[in-house]
Amino acid sequence: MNFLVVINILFALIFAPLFDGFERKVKARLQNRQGPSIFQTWWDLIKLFKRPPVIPSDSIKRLYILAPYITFTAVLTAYLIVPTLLPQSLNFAGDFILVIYLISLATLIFSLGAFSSGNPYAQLGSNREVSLLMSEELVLAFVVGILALIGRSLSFEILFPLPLKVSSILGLALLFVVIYVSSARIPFDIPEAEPEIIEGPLIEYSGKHLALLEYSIYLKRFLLYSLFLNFILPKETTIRTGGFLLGLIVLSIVYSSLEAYYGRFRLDQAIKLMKKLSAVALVAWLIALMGW
Amino acid sequence: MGRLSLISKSISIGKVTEKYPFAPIEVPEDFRGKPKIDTEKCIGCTSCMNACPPRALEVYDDLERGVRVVHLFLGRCIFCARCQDVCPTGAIKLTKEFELATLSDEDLHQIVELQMVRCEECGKPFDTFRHLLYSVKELPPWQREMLFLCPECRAKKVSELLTFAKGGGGYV
Amino acid sequence: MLIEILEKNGSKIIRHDENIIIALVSNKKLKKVAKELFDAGCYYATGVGVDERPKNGAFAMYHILNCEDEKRYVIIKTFAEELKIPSITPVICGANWAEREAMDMIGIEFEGHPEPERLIMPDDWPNGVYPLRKEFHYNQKVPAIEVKPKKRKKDPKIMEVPVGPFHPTLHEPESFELYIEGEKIVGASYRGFHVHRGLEKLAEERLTLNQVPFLAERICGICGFTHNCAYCQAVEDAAKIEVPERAEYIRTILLEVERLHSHLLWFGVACHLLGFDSGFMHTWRIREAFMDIAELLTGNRKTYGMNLVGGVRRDIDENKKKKLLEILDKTKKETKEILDNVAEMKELINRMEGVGVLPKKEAREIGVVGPVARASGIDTDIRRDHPYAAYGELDFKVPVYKEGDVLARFLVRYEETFESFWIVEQALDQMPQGEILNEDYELPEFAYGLGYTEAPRGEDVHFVITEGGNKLYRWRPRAPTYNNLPAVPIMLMGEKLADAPIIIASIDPCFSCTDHVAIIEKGRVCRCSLEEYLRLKR
Repeated sequence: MNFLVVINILFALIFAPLFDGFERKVKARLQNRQGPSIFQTWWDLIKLFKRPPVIPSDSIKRLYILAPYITFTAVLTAYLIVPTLLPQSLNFAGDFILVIYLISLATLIFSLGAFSSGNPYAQLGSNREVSLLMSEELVLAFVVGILALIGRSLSFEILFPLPLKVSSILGLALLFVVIYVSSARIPFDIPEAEPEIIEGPLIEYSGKHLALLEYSIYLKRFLLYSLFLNFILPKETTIRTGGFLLGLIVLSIVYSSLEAYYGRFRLDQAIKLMKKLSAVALVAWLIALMGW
Repeated sequence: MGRLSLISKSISIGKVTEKYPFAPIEVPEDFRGKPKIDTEKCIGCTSCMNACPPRALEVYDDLERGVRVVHLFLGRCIFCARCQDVCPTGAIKLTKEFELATLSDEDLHQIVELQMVRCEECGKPFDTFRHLLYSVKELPPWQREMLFLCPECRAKKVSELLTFAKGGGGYV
Repeated sequence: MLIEILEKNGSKIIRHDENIIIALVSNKKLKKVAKELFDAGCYYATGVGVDERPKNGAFAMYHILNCEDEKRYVIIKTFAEELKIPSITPVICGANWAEREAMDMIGIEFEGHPEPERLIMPDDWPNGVYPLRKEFHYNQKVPAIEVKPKKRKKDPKIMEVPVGPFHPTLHEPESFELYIEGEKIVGASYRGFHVHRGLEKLAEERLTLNQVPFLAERICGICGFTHNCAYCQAVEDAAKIEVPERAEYIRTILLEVERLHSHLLWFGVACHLLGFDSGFMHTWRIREAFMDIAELLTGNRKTYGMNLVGGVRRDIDENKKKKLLEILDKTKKETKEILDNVAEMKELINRMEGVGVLPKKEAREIGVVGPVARASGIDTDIRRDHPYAAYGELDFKVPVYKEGDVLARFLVRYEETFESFWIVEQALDQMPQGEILNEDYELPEFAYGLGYTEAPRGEDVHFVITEGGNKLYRWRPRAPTYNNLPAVPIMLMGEKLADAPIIIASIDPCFSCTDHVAIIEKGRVCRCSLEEYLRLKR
């Protein structure tokens, strides 16, 4: 059992950067470009891991150095609970909450580390990161509420897969949007906006620290994809594995096409949109409450 | 809807970037690339040097060896083709070549050495042989006699001739 | 009207024709004349300090104003008395930078200037060395002096965000310091002039008449040809050279091709700054066709190198014309399709609407030019008001919007793009046969010439004084960003930090072109009697 979880984690570690490479290729094609090879993200990471990190003199050093490791570990821990290639995972009551906790922890520690770098751009970026996290959290809470109501549980063992209902479709649609927002894609890449605040929180990080942070961003996206697919796919191993791989590719293509053809929001516009979404989520929750 | 039609547009067009360094690229006929001096045609008249805005072309005389050096340094060249415009013999032409990156400094220099003519009177080299041949056509016959004199000796000779013509005229 | 003002104040008219009035104004009357001219509807185009000691034994300052109502340039000349000239910045605040530049480069003192600090020279430049004086040589080196960095008071509530000294997205040397509270910009200062190339000195000391066009072309990496054109027109104006009509048409075609590629470039950059990289790719894909057109017509993608004094160097034959029309037809449709679709994307429009507003009054006072002025409701276009090249015979509209925000600037450029297609088509159709280069001219001694073009970013002004032979006595180019940049801090006030890049980019700035006349650092925004201006400097 535990051995199979390790396979899941290894699968994620290898394939998360590959899927980013794939998305880059898709985006390039949508922009009439050749695009880099799908292994490019891996080459970038390997190169960064080889480089010595530079630590800014104005930073709070311990926090600054620890943050990438904690972020990375937090995301990796979540893979113990969310199954990827194989359906096996650690399960207990309330593991849904723990996954969300771990993802938020990663984001918060990441912003905290960036904030401690002392760079005004990084501070602005982490400000934005946290504001965006807060506004999306409300929608996410409703999504958890909806899904928990449908399955009458907070454990993935019972929740996977969801029964076909109006409320579960609504819940998954909302989850689809929340995943999009929290994976920091345009138009919601406000914290990292390159032309505005020059990669924001990442600005001072370098070498292996930067590599770890980027790696955890890819892993986080991959985790959220897996979470979404797990809610849909049936439990039988063969159909599930095939469906999972196909689902990943479809999600990658859809998400990267959306990203390629959107302009960036301003923070206030994004927050306004998330407020509207929360209202929609409330309605969906009420529908779930009715048992439809 | 704008978004969707943009996506469909880009899919219908496909890739437009080229695998340039790995595949060659076409340039039009009149492209202004690396200048090339035809050593056979160059007469060393210095007009390219006078026209060249960034002083990429320099012409100087090596008096010891008795040669005129036409030196083109591509590192300064701005590919304006002014030298091509002013060259009287069409010796300098801009080619279609534009990949000039190199590891050796020598590739950026083109040097043409032209044999100079020594003055019949003072023995100083003063002009290239080719330039003299080129300009001989335009000289009036009485100057052709002094073709192989350097400008200073020529001026002396002319003034002598003039004095002789004046003075002689007066006494005869 | 203009001439009356000048005559009333006892100024001596040096030259008076259809386009240009040059008058010598006495020191005492200068401020009064400037005020009256400003009230008569002139805006400040540029100012030129000239070392005229070899000729007249004194330094002179030329203020060049453009009167839109009378469609004329007025050049008022004053001699410095004991190196002193009264400042006209209190009257026309657009003169701020020009006067400080003359102060740095020539060493004229402007009495009553509100901010007589160095603009162009670096802080470690020795005092009393003025590079544009005739005794200074272009290859002369001076030792740097030691300066201590000034300490500034810091307000703990306000965060300083540096944008520059190398702009992260425009990839040019400039430096804005934004003061922000939360995400709101409460102050902004600009320090420019990091890159000085000493072009003016080089042109007057080292280059000859027909070498300068190639130098002028390299003022800007995007709109070099308009500078090239403006320079040639200035010399042609000074020497009264007749340019063959066909050459005028070829110039017009190339100027418009340049505008097309420049505007498409801007659309791409704007899309990129708003996070819409696919829009960037689309517009730049179309733009590539114009680069190919340029390569076909001139032999080079960007530095056309087509102009010489008296005409152009290469003709457009039937073959090229046919090809050009084909490409134009195709790109016109495609440009329309892409830009219309981009304009339908709501989130992009939301980011531009109501952002970075420049009111008309301020716009006039600073003297902004080109699309920035037209977006703020000022109906100005050098192509129409002062027809040069073949523009007088062509038909085109000048789009004007009164909103003054980034969206208005976007729309002005959008409409101009299609007008440019139309102009090129007309010019190709009407182009007469004949010569393209007139080389039969003689350069007079000490004659004034003014060349002006409407570059994609606004009005280019080139002022030339000839020396005779094939040399120039003084050449002063002014890029449009020089006039537009002081307006940026006004646009930035009170906006969100997220909007700063698109606001800065909305004037389509070209920092290096502005700096061509300058050397490194230090320059605060224009401060005048205006309250808004005072608030800018914290």
